Amino acid sequence: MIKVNGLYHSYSNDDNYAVKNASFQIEKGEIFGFLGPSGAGKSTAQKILTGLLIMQQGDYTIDGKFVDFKKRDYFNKIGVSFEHPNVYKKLTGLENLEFHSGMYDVKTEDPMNLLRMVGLEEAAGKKASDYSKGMLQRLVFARAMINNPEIWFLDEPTSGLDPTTASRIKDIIKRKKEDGTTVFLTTHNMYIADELCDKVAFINEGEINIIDTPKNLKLKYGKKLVTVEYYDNDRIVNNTFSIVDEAERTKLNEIINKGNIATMHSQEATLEQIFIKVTGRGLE
Amino acid sequence: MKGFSKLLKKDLILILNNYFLYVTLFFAIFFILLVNFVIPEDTSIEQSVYVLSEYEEGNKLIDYFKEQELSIRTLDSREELMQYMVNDFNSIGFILVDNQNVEYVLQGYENEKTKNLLALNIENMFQEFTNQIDIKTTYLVENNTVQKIPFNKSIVPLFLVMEPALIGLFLIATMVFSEKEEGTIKAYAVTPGRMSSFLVSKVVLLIILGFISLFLVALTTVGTKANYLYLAAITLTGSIMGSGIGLLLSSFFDNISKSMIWIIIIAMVLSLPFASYFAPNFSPALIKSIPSYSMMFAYKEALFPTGNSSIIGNTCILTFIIGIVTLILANLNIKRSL
Ligand SMILES: Nc1ncnc2c1ncn2[C@@H]1O[C@H](COP(=O)(O)OP(=O)(O)OP(=O)(O)O)[C@@H](O)[C@H]1O
Ligand SMILES: [Mg+2]
Repeated sequence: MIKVNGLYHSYSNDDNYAVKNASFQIEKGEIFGFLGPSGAGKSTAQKILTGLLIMQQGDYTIDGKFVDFKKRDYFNKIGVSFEHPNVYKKLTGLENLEFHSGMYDVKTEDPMNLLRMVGLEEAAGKKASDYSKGMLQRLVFARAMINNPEIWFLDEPTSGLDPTTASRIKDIIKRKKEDGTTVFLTTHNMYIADELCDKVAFINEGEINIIDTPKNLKLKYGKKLVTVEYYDNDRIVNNTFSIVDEAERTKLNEIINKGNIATMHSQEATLEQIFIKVTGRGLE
Repeated sequence: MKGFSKLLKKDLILILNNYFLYVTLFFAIFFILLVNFVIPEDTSIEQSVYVLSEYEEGNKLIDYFKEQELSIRTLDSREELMQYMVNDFNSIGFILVDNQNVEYVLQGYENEKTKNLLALNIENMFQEFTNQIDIKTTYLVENNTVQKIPFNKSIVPLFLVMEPALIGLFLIATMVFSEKEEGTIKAYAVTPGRMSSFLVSKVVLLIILGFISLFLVALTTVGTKANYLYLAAITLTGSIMGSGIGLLLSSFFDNISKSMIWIIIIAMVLSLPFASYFAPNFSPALIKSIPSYSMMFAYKEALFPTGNSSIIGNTCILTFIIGIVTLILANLNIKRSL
């Protein structure tokens, strides 16, 4: 089990924190999501836990033992996928993975197998400089699996991918979870968080506002909603009302009575709507 | 060790894809052609000597001079001699008036020292000729193997210093900056591989390049007379120093443009001693303390051995120490700006 307690980080070494008093725990084999808008501090948190940024304040334990980044053995156990595709552009996809696999003291996956998993077997011998953005993204993702990590850090693993490729990546993540891999995933995409994560932490301006399962969040905050598009003095207005809330129901009634409705549908609250309720801002 | 060979293999592939390497190789080949075919072996400007004898015996003396392989030119009249000398700024003349008197004809810009030296020289030759006395000359550099180094070959040490200490330094720095900009150094930092191995791989890479360029240039210019063991030793430690400085420099900044001013300063400091090479009188202690100064003369000694090998040992020790110290500092510093 991973336990993080009172994590802070300031890039400017003052009280301007990119991550502020973050505490959470992740059970073994769980997918834990950091959901938040751009600049919320998701990548900063991941960089601290992967030793790329100095742990300025806070504790990080795995199964009760403090993580010592100086002992390189920790890095045999983790796999890291970056938000920016940081591969050697002058090397082929295969060469990139082969180089990387040589750095581990543990048994590593066959690079060609990994490329096949992410649909890059055809491009294995091509230089990474000739890869598209999505292909680079997949290469970085494949690289993060090379040492069969116990803990997997995925920073925006599906951003910029087409739906088919994205679902392929999501399937791999689900399969890894079934094999017992613990996943720390950051995203600003509520669908990913909803679909993949066992637990989601809402992070905004460096602070975690709430941590729960997507299901519980919806039960707690996401009462039935009705979205109405209506004309108000020739202007088209879009609004969402909760049918549980007395005041909102009255307002909705007024609009219906005026009869200026363009479209109207009911829906379950999305994680984004809940995010807005909890943090006061959206994910974009 | 398995990890290290992968690191080195990766660096070799990267360097083969780096245009900087081809610039370096191009320079080496350009330099070889320059030394062998363009720069003359001897560029010292000969002073012409014009002589006129106004008495019979004097011509015998002139023949004697000529036998001594002095390049002198005999003329028939004072007017002619003056005319030649006016047209040839870099010349002196003397007129053998009779067997007691010699007249010197000078340009007028010669200083007192030169004049005295001239007088003494010619006096010597006279005595040598008339009394057949042997004049023994003692040179301060006593070793009789001292040969004159042809001018075109004498600049080879400069090139050999530039390779590891200057070009190599920037090559290594650009490689690290490119890893920082692509973010690949971060990907490495989350593997069990150590930063020190990452750095040492770059050092080994520069040593390999240094050796290639050393043997290419030394064999084609100086040939087999050079002491290759010494050359290799200087190149080895020089490359450690060059890569150490390059790695230390790149550990402070996250991209090459931020480091540019330092790159220029280091380049200027390291090339200052080149001036002393051509003007040996210009070697203030400050310049002598720049490591490229002693590297220059160590390479010279290894290329054209005179038996003074202590400079080689000292240079190797100096550059090795600088290399190790800068590497240790780079290793401590590099994690700060991944
Ligand atoms: N290297 C850095 N130096 C200074 N400030 C930084 C640095 N990296 C990030 N920040 C700042 O820290 C805050 C959090 O950034 P972070 O990259 O963690 O956000 P994020 O949640 O990952 O955003 P995104 O979804 O855009 O990736 C931002 O305000 C950002 O400007
Ligand atoms: Mg991010």
